[in-house]
Amino acid sequence: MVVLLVGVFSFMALMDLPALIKEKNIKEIIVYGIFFVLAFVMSMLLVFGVEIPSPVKFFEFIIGDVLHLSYE
Amino acid sequence: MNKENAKERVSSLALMFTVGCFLQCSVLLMGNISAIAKQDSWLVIAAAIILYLPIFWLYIKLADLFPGKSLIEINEKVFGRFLGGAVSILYIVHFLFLSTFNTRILDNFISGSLMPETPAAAILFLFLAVCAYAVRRGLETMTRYSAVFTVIVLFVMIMNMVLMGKDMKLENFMPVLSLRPIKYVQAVHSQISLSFSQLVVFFMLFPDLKKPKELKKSFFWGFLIGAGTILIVEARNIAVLGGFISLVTAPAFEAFRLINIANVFTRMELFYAFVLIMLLFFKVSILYFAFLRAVQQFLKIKSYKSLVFPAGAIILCLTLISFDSSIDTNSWEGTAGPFLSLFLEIILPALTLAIALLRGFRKEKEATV
Repeated sequence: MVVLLVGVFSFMALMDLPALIKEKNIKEIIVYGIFFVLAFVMSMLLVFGVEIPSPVKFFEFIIGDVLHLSYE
Repeated sequence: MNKENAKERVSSLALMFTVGCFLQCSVLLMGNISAIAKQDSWLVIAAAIILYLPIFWLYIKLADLFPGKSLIEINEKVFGRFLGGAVSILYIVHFLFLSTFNTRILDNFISGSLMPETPAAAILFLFLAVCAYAVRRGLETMTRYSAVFTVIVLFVMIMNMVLMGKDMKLENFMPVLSLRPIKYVQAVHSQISLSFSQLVVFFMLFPDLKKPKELKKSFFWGFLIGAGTILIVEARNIAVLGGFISLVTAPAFEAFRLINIANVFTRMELFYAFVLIMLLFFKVSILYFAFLRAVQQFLKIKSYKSLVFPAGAIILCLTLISFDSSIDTNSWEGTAGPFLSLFLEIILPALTLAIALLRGFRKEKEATV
C-alpha cells in the first residue's frame, strides 16, 4: 500500500512539477509544495492507521456545544 | 501551457443547465427532509423555494454590484485586505468541506447499496480521479455537458413517473400539516441551507461568463429547473411511499425499487445509481473547481491547474476522516450542518452586500470582454 501511494504521488509530481520548474514561478511552486506535502502526509497517516481528528467534530462542537444552536 | 492559461468562457445556456444540474443533485438525497417533514415534505420544498427567492435576489444584487468579480475579489473590495482575506479563508474552507461532504455522500451510497465489500478508498480514488480530470480540462469543458446531464435526469424522472403511475396514491399525502410547527421551520431551514444556498459557489464561476448581462436570467431559470425537479420528485416519492418515506435514507432509491410492470420492468434502481453518480460527479467537479479557483485568486497565482491532483488527494483523505459512517453524515445534516451553511451561505453574503451598500459601492462598469 505504501509503495502504491508513493507511486501515485510520484506520478502526480511528474505530471506537474517539471512544467512549474520550467516556468520558474516560485510562488506557484511553494503553493504546490504545501498542497502536495499536506496530501502526502495525510495519506501516509491514513495508510499507517493513525487516527486523525475529524474536522467535522470541531464544527459540531462549536455549533452544538458552544453556540447551542440546535432544533432538539 | 498556453492553452491552460487561455481565458475560458461559459455561455449563458451552459450556466443555466449547470445551475439546474447542480440543484438536481439534491433530488436524490431527500432523506433528511423526508425524515423531518414526512408526508409534508413537498410543502416544505415549495415553501423553501418561495423563501429562498429573497436570498436569490441578494446573490443577484451582489453579482450585479460587482460584475465580472468572484466572491474572493468581492470580499477584498468590500472588507479590505485583511478582513476580506479572513472571510475568503472561511469560504475556501467551506468549499473544500462541501466537496468533501458530497464525495462522502457518494461513498455512503455505493458502500451502502451497491458495493459493500469494496474499500471506500478505492471507489473514492476512481471517482475523484474522474473529477480531477474534468477540473483540469477547465470550466468550459465541465459545463458543456450540463445540458446533456439535465436532459438525462429529466428523462429518467419522466420515465419513472410513468412507470410508477399505478403505485401513486393521493391519500399518501394525508394528513396535511399535522406536525409540530418547529419541524417545518427545521425542514425549510435544512432544505434552503443544504441545497439551494449552496449556489453561492457559483460566484466563483461568474467571472467566466461569456455574456455577464444574461447572468440574472440564466441563473434564475437554472434555479427554477433544479428546484422544480426537486419538488416534483419529492411529491412523487410521497405519492409512492407514503408514511414509509420518513424511514428511508434515500426515498428516490426506494421508490425506484417499487417499479414492477408485469415482472418485466423491475430492478430499475440501477438507473438511480447511474443518475446519482453522474450528478454527484458534476456537483463535486463544480465544488472542486470553486475551491481551487478560490485558492488561486486568494493567493494570486497564475493557474490552479497544477493544484488539481494534490487537492484531489486532500479531498479524498478528508472524506475518509470526516465522517465515520452514514449515520454521522445524517446527524451532521440534521444538526450542525444547516447552521454552518446558514452563516456562510446566507448571513455572510447578506453582510457583504449590506457593507458594500453602506460603503457606497455603486455598480461598476462592465468589465470589457
